Amino acid sequence: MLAVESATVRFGKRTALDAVDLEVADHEIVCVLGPSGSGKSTLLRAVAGLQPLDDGRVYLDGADQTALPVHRRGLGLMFQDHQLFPHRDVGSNVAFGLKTHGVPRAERDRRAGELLDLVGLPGAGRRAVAALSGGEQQRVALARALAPRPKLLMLDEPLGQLDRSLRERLVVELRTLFGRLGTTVLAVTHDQGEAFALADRVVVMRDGRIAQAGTPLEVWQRPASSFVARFLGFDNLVEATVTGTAADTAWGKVPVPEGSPQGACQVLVRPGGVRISGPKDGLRCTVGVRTFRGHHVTVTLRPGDGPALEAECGLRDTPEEGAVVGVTFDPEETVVLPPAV
Amino acid sequence: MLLTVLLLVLLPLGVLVERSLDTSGGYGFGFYRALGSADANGSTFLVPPVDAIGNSLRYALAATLIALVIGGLAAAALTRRAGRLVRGFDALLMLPLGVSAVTVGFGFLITLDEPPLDLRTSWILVPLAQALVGVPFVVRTMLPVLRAVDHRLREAAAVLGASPLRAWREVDLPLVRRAVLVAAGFAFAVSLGEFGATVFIARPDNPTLPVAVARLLGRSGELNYGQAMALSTILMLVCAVSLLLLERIRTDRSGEF
Repeated sequence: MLAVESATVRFGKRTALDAVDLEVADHEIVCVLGPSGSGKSTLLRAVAGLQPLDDGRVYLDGADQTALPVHRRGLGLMFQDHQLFPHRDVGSNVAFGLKTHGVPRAERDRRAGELLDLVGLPGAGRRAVAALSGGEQQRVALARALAPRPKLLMLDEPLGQLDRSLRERLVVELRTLFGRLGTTVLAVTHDQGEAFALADRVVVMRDGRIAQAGTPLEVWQRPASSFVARFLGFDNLVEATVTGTAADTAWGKVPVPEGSPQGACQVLVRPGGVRISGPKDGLRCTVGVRTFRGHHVTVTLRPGDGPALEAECGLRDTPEEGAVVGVTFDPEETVVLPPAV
Repeated sequence: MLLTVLLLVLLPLGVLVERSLDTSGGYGFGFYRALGSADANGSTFLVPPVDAIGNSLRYALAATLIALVIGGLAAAALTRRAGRLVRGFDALLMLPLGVSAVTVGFGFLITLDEPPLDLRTSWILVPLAQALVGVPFVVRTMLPVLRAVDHRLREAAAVLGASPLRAWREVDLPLVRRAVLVAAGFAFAVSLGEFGATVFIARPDNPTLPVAVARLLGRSGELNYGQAMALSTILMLVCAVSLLLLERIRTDRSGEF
């Protein structure tokens, strides 16, 4: 469906996009995830044709799009802040893409009505754009992008400006809707929760390059580097030397899965794999801040040596702040990462 | 507060109207009738003073068009780039407002007096000078509106299949149309009342309303005085009508004034 080949974009001396290769299959939902400045929005703009490439190519269904102007690419793009046309009502915003494609008026109105039903705003066609709430604007923007039946729908931080509960509900709605319509989607977000909930495949970007690509589960379980691990919110990282199934770290010996690469590396222990027991077992730590997370409590542990650790505890067996405890590690929750660069 | 405004603005104008009707033979339209002939004033005019209405409107229309084109282009240019040089240019455009219009008129006269730019005998000279005074208003009205058009709206239109020309027509134009109309109103009103520059370059057979008023006032005699009042009242009416039209198309998001 979509193929991007060594796409490169430079802004002056800075390389915003550095030889990025990306493929999106028919009906697939791909989420590009990365911190701001990682080049993810530039990638989206390059595919849309809004950002000319300094190098590389963009193909849609095998046809080279590189020289094609934006308005002939037949893509859909939902902007971060929606960019609804303020001087048009909701219905003619939705119908805009149909109008530019020469669809007759009656057909346009019918289709705009259908789409507003689809996004949960039935009968909103005559309303003014300025009178819509953030969530409603988002829905109208989605309906407008879907109206001309684009080959590929692109979403730039689709839920970025909405509050948390609305976001969590909409992400499920979006996924259901795209599944039903069979829409091919390329989305960009900095929110890992959003990406994991929406995507069939996640692409993590860093400094204009792809740091890791895979299913949400793969990326979550096996971060490819300490950057990806930290970006996903894992902070239990330590320099290590692996010998056999044990890693030598500042936290002492940490067991690692069989078949792990040997030698210098970094070790990640997910908070769920940090076991707290009596002060005589394992690594001695002082309990620091406890943060209530709903289903569990996150506890910061300070060992005598090495970086601080985060542990997940059940609501009932959380140690007191200031207490001294012993810590052991679960090899199932341990990941060996390449050494830091 | 409102009372002060009424006193300061309406009272002098009201007195003008009253005087224009106050002929020696009681209240009536005698002065207005006298405006219709050139002979009533001795040698003050080569044409009936009432012709000044047509002249003023014609000049104002031409000046409005010129001011819109120049001001619109300047505003568009100022929107695209925002360097220090451009900001300087921005300030420069306000210059005609600050320096007396007399300077502008005199400058025109001594600049455009030799070939290939000998426009002294051309009718375009007057609207050109008036447009120069109107341009700052046009720029000031259009600039904030043009700046407020988010370029991503154009991008959104392009992704939805609109060519650049179509995007301009469907997005930019509707958003700035009102501002263009308001700017036109300003330019029109400014050029209608423009005196300082016009008095230098308007030719005796083609006076504008303010110039005619000044000439009538420059002569002694009750008839001249009364006609000046009558002509002022007409100028006021013409101006009020155009300003009312302006007010009708104006809405809250029209500019920085």
